[in-house]
Amino acid sequence: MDIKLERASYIYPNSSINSYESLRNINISIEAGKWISVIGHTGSGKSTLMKLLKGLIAPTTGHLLINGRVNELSKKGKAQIISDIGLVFQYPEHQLFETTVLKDLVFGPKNQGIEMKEVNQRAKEMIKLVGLSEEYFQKAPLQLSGGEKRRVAIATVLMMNPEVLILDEPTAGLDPLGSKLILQLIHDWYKAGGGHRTVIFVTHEMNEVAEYSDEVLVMNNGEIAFLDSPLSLFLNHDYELKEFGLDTPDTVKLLQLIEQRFGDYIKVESLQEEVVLREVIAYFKKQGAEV
Amino acid sequence: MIENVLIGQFIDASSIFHRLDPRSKLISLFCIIIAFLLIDNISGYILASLLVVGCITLSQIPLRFFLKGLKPILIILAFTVFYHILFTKGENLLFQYSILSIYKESIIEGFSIVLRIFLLVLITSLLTLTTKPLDLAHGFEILCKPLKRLRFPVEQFSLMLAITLRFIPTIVMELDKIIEAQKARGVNFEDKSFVKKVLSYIPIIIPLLFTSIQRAENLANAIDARAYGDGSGRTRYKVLHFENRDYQVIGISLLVVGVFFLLRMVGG
Amino acid sequence: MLSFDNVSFAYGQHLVLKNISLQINKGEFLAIVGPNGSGKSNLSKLANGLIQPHLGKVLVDGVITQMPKSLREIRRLVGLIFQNPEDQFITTTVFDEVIFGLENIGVDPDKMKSIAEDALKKVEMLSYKGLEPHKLSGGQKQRVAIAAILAMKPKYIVFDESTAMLDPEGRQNIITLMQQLHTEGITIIHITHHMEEVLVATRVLVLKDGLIVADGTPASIFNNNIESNELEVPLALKLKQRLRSTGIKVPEQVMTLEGVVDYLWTSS
Repeated sequence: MDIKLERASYIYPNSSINSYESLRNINISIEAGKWISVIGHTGSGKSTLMKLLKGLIAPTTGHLLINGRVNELSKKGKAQIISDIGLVFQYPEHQLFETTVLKDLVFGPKNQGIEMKEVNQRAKEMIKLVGLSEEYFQKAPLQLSGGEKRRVAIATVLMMNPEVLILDEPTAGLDPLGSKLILQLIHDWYKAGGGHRTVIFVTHEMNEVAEYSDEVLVMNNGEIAFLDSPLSLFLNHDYELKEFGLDTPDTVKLLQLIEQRFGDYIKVESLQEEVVLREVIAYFKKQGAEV
Repeated sequence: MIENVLIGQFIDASSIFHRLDPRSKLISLFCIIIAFLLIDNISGYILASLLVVGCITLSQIPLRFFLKGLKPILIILAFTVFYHILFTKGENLLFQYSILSIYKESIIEGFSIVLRIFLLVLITSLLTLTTKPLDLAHGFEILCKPLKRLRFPVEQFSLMLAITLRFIPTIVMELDKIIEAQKARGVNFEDKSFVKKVLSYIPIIIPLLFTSIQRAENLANAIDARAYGDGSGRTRYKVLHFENRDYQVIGISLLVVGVFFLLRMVGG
Repeated sequence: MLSFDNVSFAYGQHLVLKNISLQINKGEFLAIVGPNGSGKSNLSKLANGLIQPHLGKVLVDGVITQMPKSLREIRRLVGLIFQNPEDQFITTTVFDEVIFGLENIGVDPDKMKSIAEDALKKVEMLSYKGLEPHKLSGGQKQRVAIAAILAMKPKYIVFDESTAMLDPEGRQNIITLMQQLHTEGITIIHITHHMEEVLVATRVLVLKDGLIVADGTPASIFNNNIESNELEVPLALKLKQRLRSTGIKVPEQVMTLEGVVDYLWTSS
């Protein structure tokens, strides 16, 4: 599924508490099959943009295009939820409300009117995908640990079989192991789509950005500042990112430190930790050999 | 959604009402409410309306903020009028059709009750619009001090009041978030049937309840961690002082009660 | 000194802390790490008497926290900053928030204003003094919470995952502030999941399943416990390990990327 925003803006009413989260002149095209990370300081408009893409709010001006077609309702300024896009809010476990995990899982697809047989089949797949067993079906969401609740909450969205998955800081507040599990499950879901699934991933963790993304979208003051590959963004625009109050991944810091000290820029094909470590070690081995 | 919440809507200005001690405002409001409840004739209503219009003008707050406070009770008011017109009996029959009969007195009564509620809501809004919620809670706390002898937890009650006002915007924002999230999970709020409509709110209410309980627990910890204890042995930064104007306003309020009492005795 | 003597704490049948003994000396910057549910938060609440141990005792400067009479003083001495910025903002403005604690510990009202303003200046929030919480970012609210604690002149401040809900800029501000307070003589206890925040500490405690599984300097913890404790290992340490395994002996105490690169530069 291709998503496009053309000259879109979203202005909150003046009296609204969220008014600083307004968006201006957003032009963006998201092709199917990409993993896009979204970064920006608090209040830069990230959350508003996610709601706009999901169709929870209609753009004040401009259009949202799905597979090249303008949404008819959005022309009239009305919001229409796009069911093929899954949106996982911040702290999604706060939205669990049923007495059992299974009931919460089937809630979404049931609202969509999907046949129970199909829904139950999906529940079995999804609980496995998020690394839990069917024994969890009859547990109360409240009994689960923080990390488990988060995984169930993400599964409730995956149950609706989206083509695009938007996640707003899905690892916030979790311990390193919990975060790793979440990232892994999202990645598994993404890969299982065979290049047709899209992930839009809002985060403050630059190391997560470096590890997973094809492209990085940088929001600043309600506008898109950059949309670029991680490699080019972090190596060429680190100064601007600092201005926006954003950090760079550790791998970038390492490459830059080596460049400053040794005057050599080590060429890497990505900013993933494993790739950078490999190149850096190879570089120093060579250095050692020369000495 | 947040715009529709009226409670605790303090509007800053520098009118006489803003400068008054919250205690004198509370006492005066109490007097005025009694005075308005004493009204039983047309001259009383005219005088009360003039008084309210005068106060609103003096408050320097735009009329629309007062009218906003009336909006939620409009349906109740309309209902009251119809109820009185249709069901109370009088002497001067104006209109009759089968079992339906309308009297002149019932029309007058219906409208006077509505007018009275109108005036009471407006004068109460004057208090909440010109007083910061915390000051109000503080004034309330001092006025209720005598109740402490009856073991009524006055300080805790006042803190509770203040926190409730403080957290209304937070809870409303939370509510917005939950509604959006459940909409994203396919909840349809536009369903016409009543039962379905009520059911569709369960996914909203339960999460809101849970997060609010969690919030309350966190807040209780935060209050304890700042050494609140049982509220005893505290000092207060703001010490309320009665100025001349406070005595004057209370005096005027008592006078108003007297005037309305006389009007009732004398009759219209 | 903050000391835990054979402390156990349980929720119902579930033991959260198992016979913990721990001394935290004045002037330390202690980081506590460990997976969710390892008992870190309970440790922080025990430190200022928000909860009481079921076995053993907690002493703050020699005073036992079980004594109801000394609780107010203990809570003044041990400030606690929580995770959620919204849920620890009790009052309606930045200034009132700092005043609240001062009132609780019975400070002379005439001195409150200058104490509160000094504390707000320290966290660079003085110019926001009249603002309401919903107009502040998470990081700003956390700074106000720190000011509210600082105004009470604490000797210890416990940060219970206080950086977890902040953006990178907000987080960095809080870390810098912690370091500044530490150099001014306040003992800092920082519970966190972020390993780069651990590196600024003088001592690290690793908690798992209610037990202290490691206690030492950041260097010793990371060099010895890298695989075992489910900790996120910073890139600098991974690089160091890899270099060591290829024969480049980067010294143990080097903990940062800068340190590693500098070492390589000077030794080449």
